[in-house]
Amino acid sequence: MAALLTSPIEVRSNMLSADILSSKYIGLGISNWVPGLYQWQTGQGMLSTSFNGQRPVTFEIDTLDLPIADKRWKVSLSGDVRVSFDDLRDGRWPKPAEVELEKRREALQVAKGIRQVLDIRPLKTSTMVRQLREGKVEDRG
Amino acid sequence: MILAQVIVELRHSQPLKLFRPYEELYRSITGKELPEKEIALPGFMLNVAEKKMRIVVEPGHTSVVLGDVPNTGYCVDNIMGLFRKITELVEMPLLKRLGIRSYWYQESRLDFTSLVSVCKEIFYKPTIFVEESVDIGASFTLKDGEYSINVHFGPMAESQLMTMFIFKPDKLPKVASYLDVDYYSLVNELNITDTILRQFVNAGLKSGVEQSEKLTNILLRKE
Repeated sequence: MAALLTSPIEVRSNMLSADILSSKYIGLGISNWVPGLYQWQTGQGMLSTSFNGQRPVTFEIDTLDLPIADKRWKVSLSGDVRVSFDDLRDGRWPKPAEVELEKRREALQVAKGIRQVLDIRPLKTSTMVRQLREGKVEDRG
Repeated sequence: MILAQVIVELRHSQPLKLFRPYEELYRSITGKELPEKEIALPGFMLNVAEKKMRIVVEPGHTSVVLGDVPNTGYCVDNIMGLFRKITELVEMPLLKRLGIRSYWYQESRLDFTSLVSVCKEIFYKPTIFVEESVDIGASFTLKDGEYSINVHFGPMAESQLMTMFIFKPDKLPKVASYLDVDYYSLVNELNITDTILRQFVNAGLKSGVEQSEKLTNILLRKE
């Protein structure tokens, strides 16, 4: 592929249908293609995303420990299922075993029972505001 | 296409204070601005060999280069991790530009000359220049709401493809279609936050994926 070095000549062209790449225009510097030296200049000036700048002081190291997500979140699943962090991020969840499903059903039953006995209702924002303002617990009866 | 390299750049509207100690000292002692701008101190560049990563913190911009990229999630995690580390130590000034640039390639079954011919046929009308050319490339500027996307692509032989990457991949195809997607936004004194940066990086990588899929689909019909 050839590459641009200096100011491109902007050519407005209908050579391609607009729906191929939703292009607004094609800017080609016909006289400035130089393989191996790739640099692009748009009509808005030199704006390409780049790391180049002045002359920074350079350091070389072997590695770097970053607080990235797969370090913060440890993957630990029952049954010694080997699932990586990438699997979880991409939505590749392992199916729960029958034993786990049974435990979940039991836990739901217990939770329902507790809710009925204690008459637990969701604490709404309006209720909280009223309690804070009036300094008393709302009568739920 | 294979994602080979990602560059994220935050361009500062004012030089980082870290690099202007004389100005700060003069102001704190005299209560006035320096009569002339001091030359800023040199920036900082860190190359991390194992991770094929480069971090550049300069007065005018803060950048991260990621080579050997396994997937887009890796990019988001590392970019966020790095910028979090940097902003723990350095107060990030207001920004004037956000940019994320992704570099892609796809091995071609064709030899270089044939791939050039295919690109001519797809992207150009036959003219004397097109017919005589031995190499070719194309550049487009697209829009995605407030963001602009500069897309460049074309055929490349291994030797030229190698020059596109800061960290040279171990193996590259003999002939490939190359794609460079620069997704950016000019902003007016933006105060960058974790949420804004994460959304921007995700949007830029998503756009890169979209452009690479478009190009692959177009080329596959002819290759």
